[in-house]
Amino acid sequence: MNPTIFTLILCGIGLGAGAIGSLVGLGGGFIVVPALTLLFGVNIRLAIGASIISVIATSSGAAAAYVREHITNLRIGMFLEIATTLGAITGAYLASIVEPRLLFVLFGVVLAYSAIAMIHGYKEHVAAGAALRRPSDRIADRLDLHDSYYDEAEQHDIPYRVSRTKVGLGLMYIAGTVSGLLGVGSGTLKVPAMDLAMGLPIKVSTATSNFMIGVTAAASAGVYFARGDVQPTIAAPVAIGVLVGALGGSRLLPRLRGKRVRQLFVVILVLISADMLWKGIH
Amino acid sequence: MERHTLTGADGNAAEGDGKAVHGPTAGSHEAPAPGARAPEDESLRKMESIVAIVLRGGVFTSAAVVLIGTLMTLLDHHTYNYSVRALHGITAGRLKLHGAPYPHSLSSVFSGVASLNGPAVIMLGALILIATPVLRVAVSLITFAHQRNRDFVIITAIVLTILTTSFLLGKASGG
Repeated sequence: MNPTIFTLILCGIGLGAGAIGSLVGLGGGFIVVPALTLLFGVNIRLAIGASIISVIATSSGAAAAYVREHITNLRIGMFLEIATTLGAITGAYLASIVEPRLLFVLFGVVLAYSAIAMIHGYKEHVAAGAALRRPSDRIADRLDLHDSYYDEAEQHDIPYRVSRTKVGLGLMYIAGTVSGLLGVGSGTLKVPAMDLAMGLPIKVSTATSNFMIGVTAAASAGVYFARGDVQPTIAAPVAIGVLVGALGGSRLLPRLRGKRVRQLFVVILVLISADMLWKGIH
Repeated sequence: MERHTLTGADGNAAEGDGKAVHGPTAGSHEAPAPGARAPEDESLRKMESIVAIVLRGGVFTSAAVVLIGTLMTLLDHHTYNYSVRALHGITAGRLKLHGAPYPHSLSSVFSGVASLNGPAVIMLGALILIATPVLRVAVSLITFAHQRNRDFVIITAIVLTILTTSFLLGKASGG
């Protein structure tokens, strides 16, 4: 194998990661880093650098569409971004002092958690009526974070109240740290933090999380870039592949949507998780 | 707080690009003054188009620059095309060009681009990509300032500061 073929293969990996990621709702980061490290023995910090660049690309590309949807709660997003970006820097910094094997273990753990989250799916946890009875939160009131959104399916506005903002901030800091440490989008941590802890409806949580992912990734990417962990010959083909895959994936593979795909993906996730754990422990 | 001039209805008025704006069906059960909403709606839409343009433009510009840089690199380095040793160098992170590691600071990237260095052009593309969400936050800052929302101008400014200092921290922690 020579570097040109290597570049093309990297692009292909990116394509696959982007397409699958957009279909299943998980970021491509979960595929990119294991593929690069397990298949090619790429230094994990370089793999993470390449992955975080891809995360920015896909998230920003998709966010352009979400902006029009009016479901994103920008105030909450921006407010929580304080915590996620601080976490992202923390994670990116930790990645430089933590032993690489530990990164593998952490990756395996987060993957396993994501697999479990996918099995359970995201259910509506808060009924519309109960939403208004949530405990009052002074920060949420002061910043006017409460809002409503228009639900297409129900055909009317659904108001919601936000609570437990401090818990939300803490969870977002952790989500940001994981994102900076492992080069992933951390949507799987952000969405439950907003949905379960803070009381946002699931659609709002998902849209807001999508908005936040790009900004969070940019925070840690700055650190990786300046440290020299973004290797152009690795990051470039991967990022382009992921971008094309994410944009074209859902269009090219419409018949693959649905439960079967998610089940298959859960199995793949578990296998990759085990592989990463193994590599970390040995 | 100066924003709350209408009871309850203010929550649904088009006052921020994060607040729900639902077009013709908006405020159905809260009926804000129609005149008060139209101009806000206008500027909201404009802000949103700017954001969308910034995001899409940033991503595709960076992708184009990265592609150009990749082509330049492949054409420039004949050994890169054929040597397995070069491959090991890449995966371990030791790719060196003309004796120096690939550029990863603003000044070295720009001077590398000026001398038509392929990897430097790729890194420029990566920089553009990283800057895109930062620009997006900056547009939100302007939006909040436009609405005289002091709380969120401060919050957004904090996020922007964190984003810009992340680069400095990276330089300090390992270069």
